[in-house]
Amino acid sequence: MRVCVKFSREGFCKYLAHLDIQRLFVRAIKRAGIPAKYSSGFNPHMNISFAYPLGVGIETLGDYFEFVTTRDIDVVQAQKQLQEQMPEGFSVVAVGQLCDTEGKLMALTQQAEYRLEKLPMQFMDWMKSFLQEKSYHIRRERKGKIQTIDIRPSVRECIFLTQQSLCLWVDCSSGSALNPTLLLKQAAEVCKQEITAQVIRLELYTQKNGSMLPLQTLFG
Amino acid sequence: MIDTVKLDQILPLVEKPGRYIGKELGSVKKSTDLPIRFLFAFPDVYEVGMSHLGSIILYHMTNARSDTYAERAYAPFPDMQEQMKKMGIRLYSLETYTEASAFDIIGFNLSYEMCYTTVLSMMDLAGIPLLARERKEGPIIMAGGTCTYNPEPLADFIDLFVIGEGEEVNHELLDLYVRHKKKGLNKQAFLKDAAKIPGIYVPSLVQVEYCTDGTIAAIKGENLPVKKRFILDMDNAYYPDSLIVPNIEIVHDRVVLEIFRGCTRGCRFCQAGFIYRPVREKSLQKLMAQAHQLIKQTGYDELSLSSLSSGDYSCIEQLSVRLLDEFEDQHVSPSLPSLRVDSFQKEYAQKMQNARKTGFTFAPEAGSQRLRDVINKNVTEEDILRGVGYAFESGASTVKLYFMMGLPTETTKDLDDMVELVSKIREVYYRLPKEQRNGSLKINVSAASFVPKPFTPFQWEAQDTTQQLREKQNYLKEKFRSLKGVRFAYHDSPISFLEAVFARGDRKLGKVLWYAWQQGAQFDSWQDCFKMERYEKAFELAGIDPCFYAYRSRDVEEILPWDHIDCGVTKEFMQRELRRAKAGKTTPDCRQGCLRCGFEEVCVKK
Ligand code: SF4
Repeated sequence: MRVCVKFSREGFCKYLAHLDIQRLFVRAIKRAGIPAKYSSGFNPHMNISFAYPLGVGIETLGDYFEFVTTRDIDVVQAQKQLQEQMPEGFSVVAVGQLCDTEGKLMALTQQAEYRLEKLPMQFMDWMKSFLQEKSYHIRRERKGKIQTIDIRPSVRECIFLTQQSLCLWVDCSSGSALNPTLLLKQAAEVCKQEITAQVIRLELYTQKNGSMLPLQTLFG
Repeated sequence: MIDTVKLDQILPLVEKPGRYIGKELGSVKKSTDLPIRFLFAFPDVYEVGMSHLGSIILYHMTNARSDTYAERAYAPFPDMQEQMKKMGIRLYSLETYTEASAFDIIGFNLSYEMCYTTVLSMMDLAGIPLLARERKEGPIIMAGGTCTYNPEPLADFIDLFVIGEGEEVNHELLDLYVRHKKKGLNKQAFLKDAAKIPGIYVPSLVQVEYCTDGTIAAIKGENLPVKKRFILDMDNAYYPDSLIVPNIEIVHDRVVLEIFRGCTRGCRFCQAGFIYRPVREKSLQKLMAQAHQLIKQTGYDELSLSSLSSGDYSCIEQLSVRLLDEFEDQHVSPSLPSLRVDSFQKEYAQKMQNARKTGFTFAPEAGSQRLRDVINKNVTEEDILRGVGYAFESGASTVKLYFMMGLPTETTKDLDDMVELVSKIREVYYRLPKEQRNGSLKINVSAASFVPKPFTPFQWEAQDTTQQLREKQNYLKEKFRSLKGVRFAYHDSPISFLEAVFARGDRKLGKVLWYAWQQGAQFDSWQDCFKMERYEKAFELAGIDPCFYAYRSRDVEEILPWDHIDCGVTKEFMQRELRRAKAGKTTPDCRQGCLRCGFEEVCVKK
């Protein structure tokens, strides 16, 4: 059975790297006694694959991974069992079944929603002017080559919540993706001062029948 | 508690921030309002400290007490230290982010000599005065672990040392602390009473007098010698039924099962082989129960055995077979010792093939039979060639070989024999029919520099000079160059020299450690952090000649700096072993007959 897990991580656990999180969930699934399927071969291992890896330092309320079990399981029960195995800071929000005809989570994910908090005034001003632009080119290094890329199209929508916080919808797929900390870095360069903020990923979205829906709607 | 908002600001700036956050599954949550708050401090990074089984056992054991909350702190790496200092964040515990200075007791684990300066840097980061005599209040600083068998170089800094295994004595000490705290703690009075507990050593209550030549004239104090503590019954000794599951990858990221303590082989260079005597095994049933419980609780997919020589465990075959059998469908792969070929059961050999390959390692330690007899490494060339032969037949094409350089009585002939042995091993491989060979042969030869250690028959011997060791390294490097497929690696000699100085040092070296730390020394076992110049400067400032400690051979009558510590093996036995070494005579494994090393009472009763 194809199983999908939605989880959150808050607080200092945001400082764990993607590989740490992967290892952490593999062990949790094992401890919970959920019959995950192992790869065959010389060194069998449990395959769990994430919708979109989360950067170090970012909290999340809506991240996903999927894996396959050797037999059908009760998803409500599994959510409870898995939750019991979570270290402090992590929470299993929901567990559900994914339809076999559906593509891989990674391929389905298209957008991410973030909330940025504790932002300084300078960033808010920079962001407003950024949104006015049609394009915004930055230079970055990839495999030793300097590239110029346009990051403006990756920012789909932005809603200012308070004087210090905003909500962002950005591209989040293998074709096009933007990490919001890149915006903080750009603003810092322009304003010539350090800019830090609390970054929380709220949800991942997929396109269904012309509208963007949370990944959770695929199974819940 | 430290300011976590500030912590949140610096964590993005350091390497591997996961080291500094705690919050692991299995870490203990308790009320902070208990009579004793105890901090286990490990003078190395998280990944190293968390892999140290002994201190994790003691952490859980201490937390099993209702009157104590034990927490952990590891040494922040220099990048983190810098940020902490900038922000005014002091050393803190991973469980509750409490400042180290707010604890009742801080217990350091000392596993190797090169961690001493890191101990100082942790105390400094905690805002605690380094010198014991300057600490009228604040936490009691204690230390345990392998290096405490000669605790003298740290005598100026540590209030009390635990000599030996902590399972019983730690409780006695904490009971005493609670009694003292109830009536209002007076550090001096507490230390005086603590020194009466067998296995507790309080250096400030012991006076050392010196002769004009720098050797020791007398060691004076009450309750001497301090006898090492050890537990008798491994099956009933405390062992946690849950472990901390780290959030980041640590050095030994698996269930580690301790199968026995002690060793009967009597290799004359090996300190562990003497200080951890007598041999005490855990029963097969106990081990299987612990293995199942810990795998279930941690979710690890690897398990390894821990002891000084796992192949010597009396039920090693049954244990190996059962581990392979019972964990097969749980996707757990046990790492097992390679067993002697003749003791192999067919079925077992088959299963071993399927188990994870850990690579084949052999430790001849010395190149010639003569020198192996001197160090009492009872393995013959035939044994080694048979072992590698088996490894090659079963599909291996990479083997690791461990040797030592600078062993007592070593000559160029012994080095030539080392090269000869390696070339014979190559021949074994190339004698195999081509179809049976698995690619091109790789032999990794590693040669460590010999460090004479206290509580070994070689404790009186001189270490080779750095110059001599370098020459030997170059000689071997040249010789091995002509052997295709052989990689020769050696440890840098300045560190071995310092190890030799501090391993057999006296209290005068406290000054050196202090100056070295002031010059910036810490994390000295990390190649990128170590700088010999700091120590050179420190010896100069302290007016101490390090060669006195490393290069001098001692008379067996000389009073040694650790003579007031009793590890259980008698000095007579060590002297006898030294004489036999010089005569090139081996001593058999004492399982074949007791050699009266000092534990007769325990061993014979068994
Ligand atoms: S007392 Fe005898 S049997 Fe026991 S460790 Fe010593 S030599 Fe071996």
